[in-house]
Amino acid sequence: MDRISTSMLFDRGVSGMLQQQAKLSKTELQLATGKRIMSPRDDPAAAAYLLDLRSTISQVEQYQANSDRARARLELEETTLKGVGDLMPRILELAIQGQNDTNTAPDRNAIAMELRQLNDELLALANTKDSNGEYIFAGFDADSPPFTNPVEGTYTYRGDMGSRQLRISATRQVQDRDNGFDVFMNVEIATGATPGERRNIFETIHQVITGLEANAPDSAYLDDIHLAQQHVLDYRVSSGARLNTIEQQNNVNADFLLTMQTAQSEVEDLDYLEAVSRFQQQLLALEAAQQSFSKVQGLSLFNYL
Amino acid sequence: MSGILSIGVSALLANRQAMDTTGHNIANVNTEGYSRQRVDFATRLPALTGSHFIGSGVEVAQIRRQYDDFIANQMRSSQSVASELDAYFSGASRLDDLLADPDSGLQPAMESFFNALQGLADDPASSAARQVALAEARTLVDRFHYIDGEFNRSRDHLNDQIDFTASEINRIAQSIADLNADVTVAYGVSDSAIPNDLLDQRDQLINDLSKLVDIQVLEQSDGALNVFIGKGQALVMATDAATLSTMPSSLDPSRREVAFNYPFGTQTITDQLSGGRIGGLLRFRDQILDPAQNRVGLIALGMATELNDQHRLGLDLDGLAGTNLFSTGSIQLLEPGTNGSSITVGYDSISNLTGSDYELSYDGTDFHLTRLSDQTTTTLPPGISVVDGLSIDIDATGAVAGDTFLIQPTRNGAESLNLLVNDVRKLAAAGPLQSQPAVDLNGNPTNTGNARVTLPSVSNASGLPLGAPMELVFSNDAGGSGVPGFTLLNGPAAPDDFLPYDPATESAGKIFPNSANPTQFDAFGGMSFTISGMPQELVAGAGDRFIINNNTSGSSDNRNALSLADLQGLDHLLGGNATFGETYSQMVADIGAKTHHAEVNLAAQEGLLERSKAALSEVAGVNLDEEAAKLIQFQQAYQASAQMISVANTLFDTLLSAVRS
Repeated sequence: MDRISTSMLFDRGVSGMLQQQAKLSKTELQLATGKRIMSPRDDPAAAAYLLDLRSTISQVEQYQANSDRARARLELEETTLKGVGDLMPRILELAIQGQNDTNTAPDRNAIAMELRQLNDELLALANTKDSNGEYIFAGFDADSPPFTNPVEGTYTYRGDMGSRQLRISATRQVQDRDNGFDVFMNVEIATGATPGERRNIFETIHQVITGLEANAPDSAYLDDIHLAQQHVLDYRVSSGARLNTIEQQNNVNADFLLTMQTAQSEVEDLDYLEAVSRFQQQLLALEAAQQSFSKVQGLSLFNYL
Repeated sequence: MSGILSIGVSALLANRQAMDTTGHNIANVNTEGYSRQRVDFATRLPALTGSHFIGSGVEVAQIRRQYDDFIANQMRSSQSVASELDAYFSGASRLDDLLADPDSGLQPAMESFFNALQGLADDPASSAARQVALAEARTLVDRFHYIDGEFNRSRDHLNDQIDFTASEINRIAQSIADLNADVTVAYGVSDSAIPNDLLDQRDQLINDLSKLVDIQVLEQSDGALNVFIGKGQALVMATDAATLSTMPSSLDPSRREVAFNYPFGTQTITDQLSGGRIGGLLRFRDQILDPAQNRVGLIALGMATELNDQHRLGLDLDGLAGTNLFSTGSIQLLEPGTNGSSITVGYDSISNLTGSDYELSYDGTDFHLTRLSDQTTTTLPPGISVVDGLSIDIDATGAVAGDTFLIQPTRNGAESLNLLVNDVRKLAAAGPLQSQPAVDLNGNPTNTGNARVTLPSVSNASGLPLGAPMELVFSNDAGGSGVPGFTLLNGPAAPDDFLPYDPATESAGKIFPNSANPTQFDAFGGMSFTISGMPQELVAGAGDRFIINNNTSGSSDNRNALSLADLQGLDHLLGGNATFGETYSQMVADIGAKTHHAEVNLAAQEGLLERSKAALSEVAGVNLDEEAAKLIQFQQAYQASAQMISVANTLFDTLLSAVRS
């Protein structure tokens, strides 16, 4: 039956235009936002994948922030230990010079004087604070200076044995500082009464100083200073190694981020070339629908009655 | 002569009626539900004159509307499905837009919160980092409340729509019953008189009704239509219309039920209704709204519980044990006042919760538990049963058949989530225990070996803080002659007061407690640590010592903050298979898929509907060009008929003049 009702003809024309407009508006929104997916129903699997991707990206970005923190702290530790390492050769040199039999008592006093200054410098380095006001060699008890010199010749450590880890990847943590007990107190010596006895670096140097001041230097302490120098160097190497670890992980993280962001962009971002040509097509279709509507609606037999 | 006159008059009248009908068609070209009408002409009974039948003109046999019941039925069922999908889709798409929105969704707030916990771990002593962590916790709670509020608003809107739809159904049913009365009266007048316009009006009402709910229609011999809904409830019986009412569920007041009103009482028919707007609303509630609110509640409950448990294992800036960070939701047990038996329900394991609601009912012999998400039913004995992470304790005393309980384990999870800690100092970033080698008063080491004991981690709060520092003393004969290890002082009682450790073979590191004695430190915070290196015993009985003590000044300790932040990546929920984030994104995908499915189906159904509308309109619709042609056709016939009368008149005049002359 080839008949179509007038209202159907009208409705079809209108709904054709509405459909074209809806399509056009969706493409327009996509072009305006640059996003392919407007809501999860556009592509549910991709939408969930995007949520997980965004979460992963945000986590890795946090790991990068964490490793920036750890790097800054380790660099400070490294610099501080380098400072200690720079003092040690002079201390050793002075201690050796003091051994020399040509020295008079005043000579040795003068040497001891310089050593005292160097020991104070060492103590100051051991009480280094970071930009947050935390004492970097105090373990977890970082809000008060860990090393004190309450009485002549006595050096105490008031920090604790804490060693803090920061997360730099989903599977990797890195220690961001060393406690002062490990670095300055727990130092093996050659002059102990029993094998394995330990003494802190400051007291070892103080031993040299008192020997010089008494004009009776004991050459055995030279070995202790040498051991101390090696001990500090070990920790400097260790913090340098951790800096390397962070650097490597940073690169891995950056690569991973790039991969994830590429994946995100592939899933989420609009293919502009395709969208613009689609837009043109839909524009054309809408214009065609409008023109044909106005032409068809203009026709009526009643015009001829 | 009287023949041609009367034939002419009959033609004049018939064609006038045809032109009237055409005019009626033109007039109703835009009337919804109008079917074009046609005039059926028929020859009048011929007269027998002598040996011939001679024609006696035309008459209007019938004025019929052009209609097709079969297509109309098809259109009605398409209409019903399309309206259902439309209602379902419009509810679903709103939640779909809400849940994945980068600004209002849950995921970004969760990420920011956990990132802030990492920030706290980076800098536990920093008051700024603590402020940020608390602020993000507050934002997260607000986001949960916002989303939960959207669920509730959606539910309120849905309830209003159900109320409104039910009253619409009542109004239409009454109108159909009224029209039934008119139609039967009209049919009674004469066999040939068809009340076309009444039929159109009634069909239009039936069509409107099918947009609201799925109906079955049966035509009676007297022309009345009977309309049934649900499982055969008679909404319209001839000239009588029944009514629906809506009311809060007796179990869950926030849930709207639809009831059918009989003269002798009411029957809840919510579960029997399908199709139309009301079917779509109910399906949206069952398949999307309730599960989504439960799921978000589950995430809130899971996060709060896990974070609380971990937070209580830490120490705050004042060295005090952490307290609960969040308040948590609880199981909602809803029951009518008529139950004889009673039950209590508790969480057995948060990680095994499904997010579904449950209905427990007693049939006179057994208690049946139905998981509402998939309608799985299990039979529970009286006493305690553990199902899906819930512990259900049934007291069958006094049980009466028909006892019903509704269990909503996570419905209020998001609503009940609140931040309990408001002081930055109360964030427990530090671990509770420290370990250290023995030192003298000045902090100088007294051990002679190079053994180390790592910082202990803890897994429960029992025995914390320690009553006295636990000491580990090394001896080559600690476990009996030739069995080296550490004797524990102020620790677990014998025989657990010994850690076997052989420096010769185990100096690379040995974890305690281990499989040899896994529960050794359960009463001491469930602590765990690793011993490595070579301890010494230079003087018999006075070997190297280590002390495990309460952490009293760990302002820079971040161990518990790290553990809190690590909760983000652990599979805690849905049977230990999903992180908090995954639990959420799975739901977003699920709702997205359902919404997408509805959208596609809706488009398809609208296509079907469009086609059956077009098919019906081919039959019943008015075409103005056609009517214009008919107008010309009938006008010409009318003019010819008038000419006939004029001819008859001329004939009569001719005859008269012949007689006169």
